[in-house]
Amino acid sequence: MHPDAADLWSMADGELPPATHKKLALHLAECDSCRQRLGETRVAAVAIARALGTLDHATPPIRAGDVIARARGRRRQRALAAAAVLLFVATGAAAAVPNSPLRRLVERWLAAPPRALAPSTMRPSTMRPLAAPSPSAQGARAASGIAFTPGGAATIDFVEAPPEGELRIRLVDGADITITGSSAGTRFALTGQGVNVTPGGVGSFDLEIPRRMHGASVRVAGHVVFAKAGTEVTTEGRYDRSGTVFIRFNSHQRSIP
Amino acid sequence: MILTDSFEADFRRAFDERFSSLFRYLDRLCADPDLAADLAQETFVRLYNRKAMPEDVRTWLVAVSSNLLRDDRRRRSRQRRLLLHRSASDLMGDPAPAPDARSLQTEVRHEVRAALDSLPERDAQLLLLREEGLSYRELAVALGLNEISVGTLLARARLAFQAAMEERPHAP
Repeated sequence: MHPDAADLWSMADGELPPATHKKLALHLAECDSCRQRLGETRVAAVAIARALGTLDHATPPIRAGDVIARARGRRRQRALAAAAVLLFVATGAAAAVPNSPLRRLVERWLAAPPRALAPSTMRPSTMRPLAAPSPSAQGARAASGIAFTPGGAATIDFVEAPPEGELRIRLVDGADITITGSSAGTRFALTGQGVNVTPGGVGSFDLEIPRRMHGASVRVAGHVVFAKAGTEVTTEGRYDRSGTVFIRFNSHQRSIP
Repeated sequence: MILTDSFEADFRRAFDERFSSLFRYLDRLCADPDLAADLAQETFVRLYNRKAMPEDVRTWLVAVSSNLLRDDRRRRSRQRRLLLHRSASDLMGDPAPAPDARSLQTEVRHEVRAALDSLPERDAQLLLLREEGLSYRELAVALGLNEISVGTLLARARLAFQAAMEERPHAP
């Protein structure tokens, strides 16, 4: 009885059980047709390998040390988070003890009359226009930017999209939201909830958002393109290997109804 | 916890031996080299944070990276539903150039991609992982299959891929 295709492929792969292999080898010794089929199978294996090879890209230059550093950084973050939870629980437990100093402090705080909320969670005094880099660093077009210290949440609203260019967003460990752009004449206006950015023309922007913020959203021409809620980030942009999100502006402009 | 020098040495060896293979498998599977690099790196981060080498590193890497890829696809799908209210052409970016504007090499790659994408996910995984040298037993473990059925499933995947390639004029 002639072997089926799966047997021939398994034989070509060297994966037949010894008994089956012996039986098939005996058959092949006497069957020209099956020997030819096995040859064709081996040729097909080479063709498949060659075809799949056309899909390949260069392996990125990542080393074991890079991965170890990333893994250790994540462990440190987890340890800090665990310590924060422990502190929170311990404080809560201490506050629950009758007549403890912490308990008295909490009771005094609860008894105090409510204060009016500030109109904004922002601190406008920290708004700092950024100096334009030298032309040799940024090309002929002068850059413009802003840095400010947000509250726990903020909305960065690009009122309109430049005809071309891209928005690059990174989460950073610092405390400031920083926006820099290559479009001269860009206007920035702090609002109660964040900042409005009106680009001055064609250009790209870099936006840094503090990782510690519990809420941040970025809109371009009315479309939400990036949202951060706690540690979860939702974006339609594309990540590169460093974690920067890239969002092309022109696609949004096309999409304005 | 301080990791032993032995684990660190084993990890580095596993990375040097397996990273490029894992990247190639993921790149071929998802057609996105940046995503493949991220997933391969994240898989090794998890291996390091596991603090002990699994019994079979290769099948562990495949299983974990496959789960990460599945999670990524699920998340992207949800993001599209949440964020995008645009036409399919906007989602896809610029239209593909006309066939005559592409080089033959690009055309070949495009056709191989299309042939691979025409396979069910599991068949594509079988095909690609076998190309990375996984044995039938390792394929069964990595993909949760019965080892006895791997030969038949793999042969079926290869034949389907060959048939899909034969439909395309520029395929190698």
